[in-house]
Amino acid sequence: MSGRAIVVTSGKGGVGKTTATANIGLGLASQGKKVVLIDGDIGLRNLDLIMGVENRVVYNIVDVVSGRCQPRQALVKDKRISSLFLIPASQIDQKEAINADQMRDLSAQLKEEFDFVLIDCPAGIEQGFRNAVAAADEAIVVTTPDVSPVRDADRVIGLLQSSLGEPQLIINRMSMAMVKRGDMLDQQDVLDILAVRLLGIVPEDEAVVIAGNKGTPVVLNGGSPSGDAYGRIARRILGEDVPIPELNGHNSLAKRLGKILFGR
Amino acid sequence: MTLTERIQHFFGKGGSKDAAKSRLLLVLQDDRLGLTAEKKEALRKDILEAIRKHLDIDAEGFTMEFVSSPTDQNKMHVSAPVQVGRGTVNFSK
Repeated sequence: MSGRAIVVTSGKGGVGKTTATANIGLGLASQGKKVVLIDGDIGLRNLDLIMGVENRVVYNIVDVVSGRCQPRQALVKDKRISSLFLIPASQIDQKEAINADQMRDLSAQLKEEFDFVLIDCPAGIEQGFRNAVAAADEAIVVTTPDVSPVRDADRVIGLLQSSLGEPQLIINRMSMAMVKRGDMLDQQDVLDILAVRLLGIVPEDEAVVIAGNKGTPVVLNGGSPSGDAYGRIARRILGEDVPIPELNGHNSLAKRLGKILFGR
Repeated sequence: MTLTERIQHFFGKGGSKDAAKSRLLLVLQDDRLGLTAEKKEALRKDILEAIRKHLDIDAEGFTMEFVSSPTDQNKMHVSAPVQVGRGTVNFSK
């Protein structure tokens, strides 16, 4: 079998890439798919912590590509879903410890056994980014509705278009209250600027912080706005036609009146 | 806050996001064109020189800017005030 390798990237750091990777992975696995997550952020290992499996880590990705262990030995099994695995990043090595060819080979090997290989890309557009992209067939770009992440997302989208084609976009940490006040770019604004396909919108949600504290990603606990959003994103990746709820903060009456008065 | 501002605020208009959007569109245009401030200035000078070979134009009033919109094509606007004997006529293209 040949699975799909998807890189989760952003350019700007701190926009929620790792959280998105963890939640999408859990979302896909809970739909019955065999999923492996790769932490591509060598030197700054975090995905295992967000996933709550940090105590199970024995080997890491540098051990795998340098032949110190078999890929199978480095797979950390998730404690909640048996079809979900993680290959952690190394904490002590440099980003240069791995090259693009090694990443491509590892990904090809994993695609034989898994439905999805999700790669958590490091911030920036240097070696670590190039490695993560080399290992992928498709890309998801994560941004928040702020000026610097959107600018950096645009740069990354430009770089991806030449290799992986058009990426899909997740807008993270959307605050409905701020959108309503006109103090935050809404989904249409971001799409006007970046001109890519929208995969989903994740609302600003305290549950994400709590989930990080506990190592239990939000998608596991139904009922939180962010967890539900990631659940929908996972289903969209599987090809389901799940509508993106209108999260632009306007109630319909105000929106209709606004259109009449201000032409938008 | 005036009443108009209040009404605009209610409809999500007039907040800081308009500034964010227009600033982003402007900066991304340069990013996408790969135009640095230096390159832009070099281009501006070249265009100015080229026109001056053929026409008497006012260098002070010469401007060059890029205009983009999400729906429309990106455009470069060059404005050169041309001296035509008596007075100045501004031809925009």
